[in-house]
Formats: sequence, C-alpha cells, structure tokens
Amino acid sequence: MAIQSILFFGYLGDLLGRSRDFDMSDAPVTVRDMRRLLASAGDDVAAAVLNPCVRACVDGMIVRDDAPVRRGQEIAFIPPLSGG
Amino acid sequence: MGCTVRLSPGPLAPDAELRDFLQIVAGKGAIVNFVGVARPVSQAGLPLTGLYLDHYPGLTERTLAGIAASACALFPVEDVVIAHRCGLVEPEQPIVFVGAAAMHRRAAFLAADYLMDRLKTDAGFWKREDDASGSHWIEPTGQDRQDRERWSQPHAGN
Repeated sequence: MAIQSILFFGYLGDLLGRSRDFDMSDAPVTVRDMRRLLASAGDDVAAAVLNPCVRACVDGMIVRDDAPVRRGQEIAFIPPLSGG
Repeated sequence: MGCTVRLSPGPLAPDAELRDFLQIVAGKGAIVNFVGVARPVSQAGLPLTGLYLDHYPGLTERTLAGIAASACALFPVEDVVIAHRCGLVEPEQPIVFVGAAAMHRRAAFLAADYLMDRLKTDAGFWKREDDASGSHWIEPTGQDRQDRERWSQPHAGN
C-alpha cells in the first residue's frame, strides 16, 4: 500500500489535517502494526495514534487493535465520540 | 414498523419533520417528539458563535440507525425517526428532531427519552463550540453518561 491516505476526525483533524498521506511500504497486517508504523511519522502523529482513547476505523467501522488491515481499505482515526 | 434516520448539513425544520411523521404514523394513538436546539452559551459561559458537528460519512449514519433500531427493539413502538444536523449550526438553531409513535403513550415517551439519552453519548459526532475565546472540542458530560446509564438498570427509565 505504498502511499496511503489516513482520515482524522474531531480535534485530530485540527491537529494533523483531515486527511494525510503516509508511506506504508511496510504494509501493516493489523491495526496495532499500523499504529506503530504511523507513529514513526512524527511526535504529533505518534501521540495521536498511540493514544488508547483514539480508536481506529477500517472501511468506516470501528475496529479493535487486532483487526486485520488490507491494501486499499479506508483507514481513519477518531477521538471519543461527542454525541449529538 | 419503521426506523427512519436522516443526517443533513442543511437547516432542520422541526414543524415540517413533525408534519411528515404524523402522516407516516397515521392510525397510531400516541406520538411524542423532541427538538434539541443549539444553546446560545458555550460551556465556558460565553456567547456561542457557532456549534460545529464533525461527522464521518457512513459511520455516523450507522450509529444513528443503530440507536433507532435499539429503541424499536426495547419498546413497543411502531415508528421512530431521528433527523440530525451536521456541520456548522448557529446558536438557537435546531440540531435534532426525534419522534416516536406507539399505540399507547408510555412506550412513545420512553422511546423518545431513550433515543435522546443514547444520542447524547453514542451518536457518531465530534462537537466543537466556537466562542470569543476560540474553538473548543467537547465531550459528553458526566450527566450525559449518567443519563445513558439509566437504561442499563433494572426498571429502565424510572
């Protein structure tokens, strides 16, 4: 998945941009791998993606850290929900 | 029985929502509706200039549909509607319209109350208040979480 766009919502969108491209040449296998891989991109990204309160989404579904990630899937990170 | 969920960045007209809902639920004995409006004051006590509801297209609609489906499963209601704003909402503008229709009033009241308690904590939004001091992302209050917990207790809703 060489370059992959990752989506960020809520305050993470302000902090990191709503969508940001990352080099994912070392294709992650699980969400946990992906968090570690993204964390090397910089301190602000590391703090966001390693925060256990920040949840990962794959193809628009909130998933656990052991969930698989495949090439071409939509990846997003979300802060705790605010509610309506 | 039907669950209807609508998410829109445009203005929400509660009177039109109620009119549509009354047509859909013709023949039911009890219709309860609730309108949530953007408060004119921020959590910091300053005049609110705007309330922004960030959402994740797809995920947000699924959280709303899940909440509506739970209400239909928990209470003897015939129809439920949730119409929700996203994007920038001006102070004193409606954010949410909720309707519940049942054969008898108790179920309709309970379902509408349940829908709002779940929406306040579990709807897929990230809210930002804009006031004179800047912009602040906000999370559900302790009271919101307590309100949601009411429904996991025995004799839920009492």
